[in-house]
Amino acid sequence: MRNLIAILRRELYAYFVTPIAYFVLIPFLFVCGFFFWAAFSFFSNPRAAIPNAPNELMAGMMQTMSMILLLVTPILTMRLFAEEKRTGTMELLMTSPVREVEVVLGKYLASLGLMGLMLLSTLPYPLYVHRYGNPDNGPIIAGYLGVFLLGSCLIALGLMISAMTRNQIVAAVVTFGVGLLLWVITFLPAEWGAFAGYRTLRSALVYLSLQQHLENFTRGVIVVKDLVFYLSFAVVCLYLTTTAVLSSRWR
Amino acid sequence: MRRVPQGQRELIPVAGAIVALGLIFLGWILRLGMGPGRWAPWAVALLGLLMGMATVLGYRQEWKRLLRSRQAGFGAVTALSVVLVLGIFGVVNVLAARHLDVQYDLTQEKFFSLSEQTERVLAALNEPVHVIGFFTSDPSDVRHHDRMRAEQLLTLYRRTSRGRITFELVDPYLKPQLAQQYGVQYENLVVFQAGERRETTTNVSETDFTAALVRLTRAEPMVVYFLVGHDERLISDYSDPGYREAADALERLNYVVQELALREQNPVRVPEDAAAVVVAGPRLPFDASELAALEAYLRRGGRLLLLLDPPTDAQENLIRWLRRWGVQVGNDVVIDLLGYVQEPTIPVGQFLPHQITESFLRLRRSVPFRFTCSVEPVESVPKGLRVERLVQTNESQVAAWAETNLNAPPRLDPADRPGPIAFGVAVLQESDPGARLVVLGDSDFASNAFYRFGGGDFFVNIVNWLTLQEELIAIPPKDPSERVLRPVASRGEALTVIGVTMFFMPLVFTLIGLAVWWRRR
Repeated sequence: MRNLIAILRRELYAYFVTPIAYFVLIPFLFVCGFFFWAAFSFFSNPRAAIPNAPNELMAGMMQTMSMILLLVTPILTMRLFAEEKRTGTMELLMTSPVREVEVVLGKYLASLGLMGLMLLSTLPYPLYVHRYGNPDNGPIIAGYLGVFLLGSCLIALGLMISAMTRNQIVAAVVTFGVGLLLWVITFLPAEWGAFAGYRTLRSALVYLSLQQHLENFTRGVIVVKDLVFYLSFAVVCLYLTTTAVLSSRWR
Repeated sequence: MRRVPQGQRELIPVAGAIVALGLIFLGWILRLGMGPGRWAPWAVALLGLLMGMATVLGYRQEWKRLLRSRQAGFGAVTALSVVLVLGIFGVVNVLAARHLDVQYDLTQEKFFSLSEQTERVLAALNEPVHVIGFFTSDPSDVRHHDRMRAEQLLTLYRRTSRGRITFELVDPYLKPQLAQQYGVQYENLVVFQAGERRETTTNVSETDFTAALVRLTRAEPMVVYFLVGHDERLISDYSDPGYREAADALERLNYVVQELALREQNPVRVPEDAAAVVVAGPRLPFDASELAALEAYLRRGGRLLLLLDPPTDAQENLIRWLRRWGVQVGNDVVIDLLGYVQEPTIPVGQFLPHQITESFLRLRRSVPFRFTCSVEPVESVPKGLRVERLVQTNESQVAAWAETNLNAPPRLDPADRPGPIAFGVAVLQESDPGARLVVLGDSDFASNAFYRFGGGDFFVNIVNWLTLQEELIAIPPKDPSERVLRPVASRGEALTVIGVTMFFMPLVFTLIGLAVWWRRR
């Protein structure tokens, strides 16, 4: 446990003394802010008279934030293991009396913390929605929970891929590619006549889509299935990360 | 053989084995996809098998060494554990998706929960019901909100009914044949089907869905009587002023539609089996015995729809009687200079919030009313009655009025009451026996001529509300339109919002970053 905290602190420190944290936080907030203003002026247009406008706006922001998280989380996670391998500090870490699980979880929690800070910095949006409207807080809270869970899956995925390569750029690009694939998998056509088992296959693949499970959260309902999916996805990625780290001992 | 560096010699056989297994797997997938009796899947699988044999036989030395090595042991254990964990992931998620049906509704309006009344109706459901919702799938359409809400609601119904309710959402533009089959004119139509029977609703709300289910599963159909004997509109009349279309629409909703001549009844009374009585455009006066029959009907919890037309001179008795039920009918013509079709005596009216008008308000649909007299709640409504305006002219006091001089071109005189003028009210008796009454100053809107301009749906909505069972009225409407977002009031406010969200928050972190950089330099 103490080791875990030490690694967590080391990684958080590394985020903030290197430009990484800022180069992730600043564009994230700027782009989200831009989307917020654009959406705000659209949803507050009295002529459009959109039903449930304040919550529709926040639901849209949740989708937007999750999309931008897809773009920035590979940058958060790319160096976590790849750099250690490249600079050779991985050997040090492996020979030190630290368990692999602690290393993995420490790094994971550090990234989660930074992502939490990113989401926390978007609090002005719901505050402004409260000032200019009467939103329901339930869907906003559920939405933030959903985005956080989705982000934690993306980070777990990035961590896993970072543990499999020694090149940061490769880690980032592959993470983004896999994340994007999991995103757009819902674009699969609904029917494919020539393929008999296609519907089952499609529903299984679509179930893997990360953003598909976000919808219920943004609407204000926590479906336990979605919760199970996100948590199990993250746990599997972290397990595979630990396995990959361990494998360097015997390979 | 070319010398391969130590430790990588096993690369070729291992890669070959993986490719071979992949080919066999591909063959299996193709077999699933293409169905039996095709040669291609077998060819692919055979190719994989041959390749596998070739790698095993051709690299016997390498395989031997590989399998004896320490790495192989670790590798096998790792591969096994990875497969196991992925398998657990799959099983857990499949089980969760199939059987774990728990959810927590955090919305204040409880959008994702059904009322007790609906749960009772669904529990009593003893046959499968299939629901087809006709909605546009274009997300930029105003009506798309209805589609989303219908999907949410129907998912809840399916869940609560444990699969006895199934549903599909259809875009009538993409499936014109199906739309034609169900006679979809306006896009929003939800069809509830059990066997051969069918119920439809154009409203997307829990009340309407549950009411449709109740109507669908009820043993004996409800009878709606159309009064005759005062020169009313006739349900047998196919010409423009007739009510054949309206009667057809009610029959499509499993109502039984019959004519009723009160005076021929002995004693003069409304039959016991009446679910509702419609009086559409009477032109001859009612006599005392008939009014007594209507009064007795309402007093035992009856449901009455009165559609009157100006001039109302002949209906003095009726109008005097209506006052006791909280309704004031004027002997005038409603003029609306802002919202009308062709001329100001054909107002389209503005709907006011009520269960009957809800879908019209949300879809911003309008209905033309032709030559209309004013219908308002009386000054002091009798106790126990709730009288609500349904439709009125525009709010202006100069562009709408109740014209009392019917023989001259309309002009706002001191004698005329200025707008807004209501020309439809709904009366609900809040105590037992819960009589319901709707009075409108026009009977043209639901006639054959006007039926398809929205009046027909309005008419059906009214009858559905009148015949609604007591407990269904109690389902609270969940109206998200009460949640609004104000636009910014000034440029300064706009700049503040933009400044804080787009620039201030990033700036905070820029400054922190600069400070850290400065200290470490």
